[in-house]
Amino acid sequence: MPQVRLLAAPVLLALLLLAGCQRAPELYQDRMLAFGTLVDISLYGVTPEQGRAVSARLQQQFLAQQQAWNPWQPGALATLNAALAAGHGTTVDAQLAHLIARGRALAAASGDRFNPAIGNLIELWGFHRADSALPSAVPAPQAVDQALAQRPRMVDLQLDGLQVSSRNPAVQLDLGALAKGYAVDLALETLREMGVENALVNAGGDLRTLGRPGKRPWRIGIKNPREPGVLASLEVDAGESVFTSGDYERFFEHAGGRYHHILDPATGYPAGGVRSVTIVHDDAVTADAAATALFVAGPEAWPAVARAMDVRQVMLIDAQGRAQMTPAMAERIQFERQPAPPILIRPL
Amino acid sequence: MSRTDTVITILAALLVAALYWLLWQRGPAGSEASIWVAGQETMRVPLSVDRRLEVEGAVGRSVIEIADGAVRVLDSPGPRKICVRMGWLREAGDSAICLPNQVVVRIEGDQPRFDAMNF
Amino acid sequence: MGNQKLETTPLQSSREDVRIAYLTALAIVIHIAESALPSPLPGVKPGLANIITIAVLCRFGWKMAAWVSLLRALVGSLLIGTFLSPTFFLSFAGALAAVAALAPANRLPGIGPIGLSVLASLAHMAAQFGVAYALFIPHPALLGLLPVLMTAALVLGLVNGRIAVSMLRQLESPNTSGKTPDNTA
Repeated sequence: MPQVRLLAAPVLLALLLLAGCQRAPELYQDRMLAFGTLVDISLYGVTPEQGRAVSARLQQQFLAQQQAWNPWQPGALATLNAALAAGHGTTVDAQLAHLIARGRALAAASGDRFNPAIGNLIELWGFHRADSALPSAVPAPQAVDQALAQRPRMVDLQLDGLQVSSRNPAVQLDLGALAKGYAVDLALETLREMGVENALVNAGGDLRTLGRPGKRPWRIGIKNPREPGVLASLEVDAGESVFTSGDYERFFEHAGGRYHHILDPATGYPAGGVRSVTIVHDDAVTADAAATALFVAGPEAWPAVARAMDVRQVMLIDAQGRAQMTPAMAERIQFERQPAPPILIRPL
Repeated sequence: MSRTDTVITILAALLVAALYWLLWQRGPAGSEASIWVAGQETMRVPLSVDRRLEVEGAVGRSVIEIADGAVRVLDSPGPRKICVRMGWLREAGDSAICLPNQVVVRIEGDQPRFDAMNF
Repeated sequence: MGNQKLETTPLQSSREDVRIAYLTALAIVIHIAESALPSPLPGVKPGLANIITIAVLCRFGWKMAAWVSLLRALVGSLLIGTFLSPTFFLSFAGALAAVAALAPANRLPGIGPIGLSVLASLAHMAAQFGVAYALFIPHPALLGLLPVLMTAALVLGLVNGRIAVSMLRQLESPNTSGKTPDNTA
């Protein structure tokens, strides 16, 4: 009957539309505690079974890395540090060796503003343990000077394949400013291995993307915990990372002063003049290290260090609340807060 | 009622049913906070009801307060009180992590604007 | 001079015109009465006046139904005093959507007042919700109300359609009153 046939068309259309509704990029999300923070993973276009499998593997991976790279708990890095302090070398696994090598290269590029060798200084301040009592006081100036005088530097390390040794027994590695970046990069490798094409790994605010969530770029909100709400937003493309270092992450107050965990290796005291540094870069390890290095470099000198580390997209919020940024960052960042903070563009 | 009318009505009913299925997952879409203990999500609380609750964690009790559609950790065992200092959580994705007690509070809900937050 | 007869053309209202005027007035009355009803979402109305829209559609065609419906929304709001208020935008959007949906719907073979009413009612409610969500309360929590509103729209569509059927039967009957002042039957 022609009537029925004509009716079939809209019926089919309706069914197709309903079926289409289900086809929106399937999102699988999970979160896990690792590296002292909450790691969110978002996977697009996977079935729940695949999602669970990926999640389980990443969780295992993160926990293993956390243990291996935490110098303050028994593990591979702690063992290495003990050996270095005792004056002899030891063998490490490939990942740790790679991490140390990258750390050394980045330290050199940053003029040692990023210096993972100052574990002694960090321990002196008390920022190392996650659960110990807060430092009740600033360390004695003599102790700080003493630690500085020993000049622990990454160049003191000798890397021979998987063999690591040091000329300077004062070198104690704290890879905290690098480890999250490496964990995120390795997580992405695992995701690719497992056939995931579009995902986002967000380790407590430091993130990297894989592919795209559908046909659009990723929309990332930038917060400064000093203010409520979203400070700015960024459209991020496949494979880019966004890392931020801030003076609000770990700090303590004492006798009217505020002391945060990003120490300036040159002075031995927390770096001043900066509230936060946000870096956009392809590689998470570089982004992580650069965020620290530029923080230490300070509100005046940071562009030179950014140039040296080949990091083009930087936003630095200084102690006056001014947003300093590179032209490349200015092009893509959008401030959500009205009024927007004063902006200073600093070409590299 | 003609045959066409019947077909239309049935399709309309299917459409409406689909709306329930799409929009009524886990209750009407709205802001909730999820509370995690030792890495597992243990409960969800709506942000619409002002209240205070205590959560038993690894080393003691964390006190969580909900008011005016926002949530915060009022107190938690541990020397640094980092999660307390996070203050009020409002937007989807905001979280406070009480590491010593292994308690995490996170705002759930649609993230219509952002895929992730950087901070 | 003064005795020149002025040519007057008596205003010819056909029976149809009177019927349509009557129906429009009825629609406006229903619209106003409906504004007194409470609603889960302020301003969103069940659309009872659509009974008239459907009846006019089946008896006088789509163009006339469009006129009656949009006129009803405009005049109704003017009379209540909500012209250009949020309530007006909601009801106008609803009327517009219903009218727009009825154009293709009317072409569906074998469709009757009930089917038309269901489609108009769904379109009406969807448009109202859309405007409310987009312009007034863009909060995700609102989405939870949509299925409930659309269920109500479906039920009301069926009820309205049934009433429209009765109304149409009355309109078809030549014995019903339709006072024609010119008595040209």
